[in-house]
Amino acid sequence: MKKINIYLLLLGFLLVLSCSKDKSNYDYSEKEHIDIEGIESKYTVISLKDTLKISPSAKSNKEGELEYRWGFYETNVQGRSEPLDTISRNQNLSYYITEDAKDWVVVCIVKNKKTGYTQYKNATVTVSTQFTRGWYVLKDDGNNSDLDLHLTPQNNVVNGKIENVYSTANNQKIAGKANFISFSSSYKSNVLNPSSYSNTRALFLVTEKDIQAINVNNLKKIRDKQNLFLGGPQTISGTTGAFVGSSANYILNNGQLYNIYAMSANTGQFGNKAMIDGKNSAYELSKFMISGASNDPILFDNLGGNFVTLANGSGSSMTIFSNDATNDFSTTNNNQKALFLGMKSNIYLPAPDYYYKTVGYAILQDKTDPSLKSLCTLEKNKFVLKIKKDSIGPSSKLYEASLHTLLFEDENLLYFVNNNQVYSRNLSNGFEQLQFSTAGGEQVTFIKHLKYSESGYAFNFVVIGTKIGSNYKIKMFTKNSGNLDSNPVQTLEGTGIARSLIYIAPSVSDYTYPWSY
Amino acid sequence: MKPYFILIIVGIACISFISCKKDQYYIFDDIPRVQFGPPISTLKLNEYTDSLKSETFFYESQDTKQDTVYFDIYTVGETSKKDRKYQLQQVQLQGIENAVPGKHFIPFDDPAVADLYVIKSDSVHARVPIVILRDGELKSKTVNLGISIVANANFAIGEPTKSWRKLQFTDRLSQPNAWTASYSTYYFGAYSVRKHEFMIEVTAQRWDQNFIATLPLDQMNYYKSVLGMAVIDYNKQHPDAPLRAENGDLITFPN
Repeated sequence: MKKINIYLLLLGFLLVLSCSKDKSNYDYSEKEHIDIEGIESKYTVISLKDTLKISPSAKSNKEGELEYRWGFYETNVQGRSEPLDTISRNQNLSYYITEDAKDWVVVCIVKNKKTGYTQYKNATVTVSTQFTRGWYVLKDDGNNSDLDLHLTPQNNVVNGKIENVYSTANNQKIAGKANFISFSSSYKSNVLNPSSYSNTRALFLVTEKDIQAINVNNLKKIRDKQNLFLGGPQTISGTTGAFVGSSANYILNNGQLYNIYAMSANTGQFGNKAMIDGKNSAYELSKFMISGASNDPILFDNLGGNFVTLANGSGSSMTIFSNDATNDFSTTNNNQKALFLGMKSNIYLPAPDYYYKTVGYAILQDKTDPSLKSLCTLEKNKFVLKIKKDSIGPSSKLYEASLHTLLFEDENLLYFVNNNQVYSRNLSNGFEQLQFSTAGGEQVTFIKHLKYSESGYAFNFVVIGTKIGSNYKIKMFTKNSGNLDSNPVQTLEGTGIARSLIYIAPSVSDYTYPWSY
Repeated sequence: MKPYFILIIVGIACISFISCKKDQYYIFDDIPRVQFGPPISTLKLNEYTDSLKSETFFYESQDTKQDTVYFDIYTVGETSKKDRKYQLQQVQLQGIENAVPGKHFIPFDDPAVADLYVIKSDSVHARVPIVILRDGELKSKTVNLGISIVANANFAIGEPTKSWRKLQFTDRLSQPNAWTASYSTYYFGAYSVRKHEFMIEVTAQRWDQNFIATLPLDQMNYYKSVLGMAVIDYNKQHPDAPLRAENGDLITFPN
């Protein structure tokens, strides 16, 4: 090709490329920034009582008048999309709180009207109601159940009480003796918006005759045995319970497991009972669970002697744990009955493991020879359960124990009740020690180790519930090296027989407590 | 400078001047055409929805002697101020039993229905009624009706892939349209009439098109579990005669 042709070809290319738009920035002045001062990172308010007042100041390094706009939006939303609501266009915010109890975000948006430059700053607004913080006690009178709420308005010290708060809100008590109380922040209901089902902070009240989900904001019943199950009304009987696992809400009724897979759209109704195997063999789960929002539960089938779980919170059939090669007990057909299961720790293992290692304990009784009892360490590695057995001798106080609780991720102790006296057992060496004796006529109705870490409200208590006549006392002890301090930090009192309790606050979520006895 | 070089330079300059011409709109200048399409409600989802439909008289009372199944048809081109008829014909489908005109359906040129095949004035869409007849032999068989558009004075045929529809109908239980391939994969497994009957027996639900199409996800999973459990229990009770589909396959539901 002649040179001239090459030049013409190049000229043609240049012509094609020569028309690109110039997008260069020739502005060499300092970039604008707006500083917003006077906004805290977090506010705590009570719905229908408090007015959120914030007086910020803002200044820009450029000339121009600043205009303010305040937005408010919801967090932990699932199942719907909430817009940013504009709640004020003034510099100083004064906003009467009517929102539901949970965490919200307030946004201050400042715009330079001259340049159009905009800056914003967020703050978390924790909205409470009178029902959203305090100790809930599930109690009964021998026939029907109710809730007492012991208020903790300033810190973890109780100051005030609302008795029979469930029946006050719902005009009736719950049928049956109280059994267990639990909480879920991922339970779906349409109480906020009738046309869509979204996360609702709910208490699960479990009695011998009913299981109810109630709205923590106002304690109104959301569902009960009449409509809690997709299959229609159910008779509640036998072993009952309610707890949270990874991606799922669970219910136990008559020893059968029901679940809601919380990560997909649902109406807050529990599905069909889970099968224990592909043959739909009969089973009867104990009431004890080792569960948490970050792991699948460990459950025990008293009928077949099987340790089981429901993988990933979904599916029609449970999984029987596989055996570790060193197991002292088999995970299946082990001819045992569970007297207790509890969670001791739940630790996330980083790379290369990427799973939560759950450690728990089980007290098992041989079904052929009931005099044989064992304290077993359980270590869950995904779907493998390592079981190490330690026989419980008849001379041990633990041998005849009736109630148990483990010190979760604290001292290596198991607390238990024998003849209305509370003992501890060192899980490393078996040493047993009396920790608390009841006064004359006082009966222990439950014990529980509970700890909570919210700043200003944090606690770490061993809780002992007792019954004296027709009244209850719930004593909350701190501990020193695993031993109870001589006097309780506080004692909650009320009428009825207390069976279970939980501390609820706006920041309590599925992940706050292990779901276990 | 050589003359051809000047010519090239001038040519490039001319091309440069005319290269920035505003793009022109494309105006439809074809003849009017007509073609099948999905229902208006799913127009933006899948343009090939409803190319095959199923219908059964199974759920209807014995007094019901005929039923109407609707497809959707769309025009291509400008609207008209007059009603415009379009024409359909039955096409014989190979290897399967074809519906017999007058016995299993009312022919498209029958005076009773011929006037129904029309695009109304100022309209680009119409529902296509296919009137099927409840012949006694449908109790024991399923027939197939292939339908295609025929060009007439008003319309030519649109896209070839959208010029046909197929309808299966029977008086037995049959696979509802909502029981799709993904429905089989994720919820209820392969379709069979015996499985369909079993689902109705166990749940006391109709499991017809409307029921399946409107079933919420959590109820879908609930029924999947109930039915899977029911099959296991049935097979335990009938160890020598487990539940099988009409083709002999064991009936199962995904876990």
